[in-house]
Amino acid sequence: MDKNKKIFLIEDDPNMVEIYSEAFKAASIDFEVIRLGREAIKKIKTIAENNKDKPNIILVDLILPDINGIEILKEIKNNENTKDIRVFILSNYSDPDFLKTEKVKAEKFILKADIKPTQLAELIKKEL
Amino acid sequence: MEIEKKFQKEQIGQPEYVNKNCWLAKTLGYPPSKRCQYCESNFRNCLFSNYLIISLVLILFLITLSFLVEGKISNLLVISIFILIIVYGYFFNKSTEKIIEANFSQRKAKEALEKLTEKLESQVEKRTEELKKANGELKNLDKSKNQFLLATQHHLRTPLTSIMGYVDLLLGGSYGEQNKKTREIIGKLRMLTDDLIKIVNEFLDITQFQLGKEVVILKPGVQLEPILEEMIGQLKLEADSKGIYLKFNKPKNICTVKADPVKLKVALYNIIDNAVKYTLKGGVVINIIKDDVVKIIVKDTGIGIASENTKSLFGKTFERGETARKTFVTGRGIGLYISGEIIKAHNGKIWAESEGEDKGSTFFIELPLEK
Repeated sequence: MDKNKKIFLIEDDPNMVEIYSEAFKAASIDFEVIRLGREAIKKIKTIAENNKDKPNIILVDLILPDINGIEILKEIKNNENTKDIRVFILSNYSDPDFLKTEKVKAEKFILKADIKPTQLAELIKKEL
Repeated sequence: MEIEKKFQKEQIGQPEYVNKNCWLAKTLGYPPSKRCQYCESNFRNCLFSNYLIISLVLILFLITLSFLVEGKISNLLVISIFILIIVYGYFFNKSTEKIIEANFSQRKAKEALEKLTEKLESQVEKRTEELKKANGELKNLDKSKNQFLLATQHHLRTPLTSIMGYVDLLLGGSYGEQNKKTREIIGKLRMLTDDLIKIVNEFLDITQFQLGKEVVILKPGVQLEPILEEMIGQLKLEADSKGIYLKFNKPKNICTVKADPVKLKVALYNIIDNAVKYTLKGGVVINIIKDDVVKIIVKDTGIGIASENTKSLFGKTFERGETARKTFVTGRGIGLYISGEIIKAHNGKIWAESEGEDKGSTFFIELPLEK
């Protein structure tokens, strides 16, 4: 794994933030936690403008306190400078209708309940 | 004769109607052969015509006789013709009466029938409306129930995922080393949490199937071999500990299908897991046959299925077979239902065959070949 590679974790649940942070640290993955949807959108806009400091993978939860994860996915995929960033939806919300109606697709959909944090860290390492 | 009985019961007319009334007999569906027996008016009409012909022949005979014997029309002949006219008149009158009576009965019966039909139609309409209303209410209730379940399950998953995460980190050593007993307990916690998550996922799947949601998202190019190998890996330990074999005969050619890999895994896992669970001696063999479809065959030497149950295996939830209940194996009775629904959503077929209890079972899963 390249040392310059980085991921964003967009997650609001403090327990999940703690769990995933611990697992990523143990796996030596460079990560940044973003807890609010608006904060994530702002961050992506800055990256798109400057076209630098791009993360390799963004893990995004679907249900956030302010806006939903799909809005963030759209922001990433509809921008020329950020659309090549791989987005993995990491959520416990799995209503198939909700996912099917969206035209913008994420690279992966991971159900939180189906993957243990150490397995997730392994998967990320493999994908980076 | 049922119609006749019905008429008597409804009191709109007696079978006599049928006896006198050709139209009614026909309307009620009596076959022509039977109709003659019932249709008296018709019979009388025929009889009248016959009398007329016989009488005319008789008059002609009497005139000829009179001329031959007396050379003129005798008084006896006049009296005979007079008597005959009276007889015709009587029969004609009788017959007309019958016809009028029959027509009247026919009209009456028709009116009664129309009334009854109207009454029946309005009753049917009323009942249909009531049923529609009740059905609508039931559907709404069912939808609310399912939506409640869906929401509950999502809310259950969140804390469960956190528990699973912390347990995983504890076992991974992220929070320091534990003593042997603590590790053993954490191991048990992990098993229980995994089981609980599996239950919640299964309930969620059932609810989504019942809500008519498309649970599977089909992707092209899904290879069956690695999925089955992964499954064998997961279940090998259990099979070994029971002393039974678990074999997978790999196909010569690679089999790819259009599938939802996660859901297909769930469907196949349920089948193979059941085969291992309910086989106490012998073992389980998995084969893949590829021709115009891909067929996955899971054959075991287990407890078998009573022939009358093989067809209803995939349609019921929370029900387990008689033989399965007799074993010491625990089961929720939802695995096969979920497998069935998943395979159906893949445009595939699933069925089971068994020669009976204690004679093993074979499960067939057929998936369309990717074009």
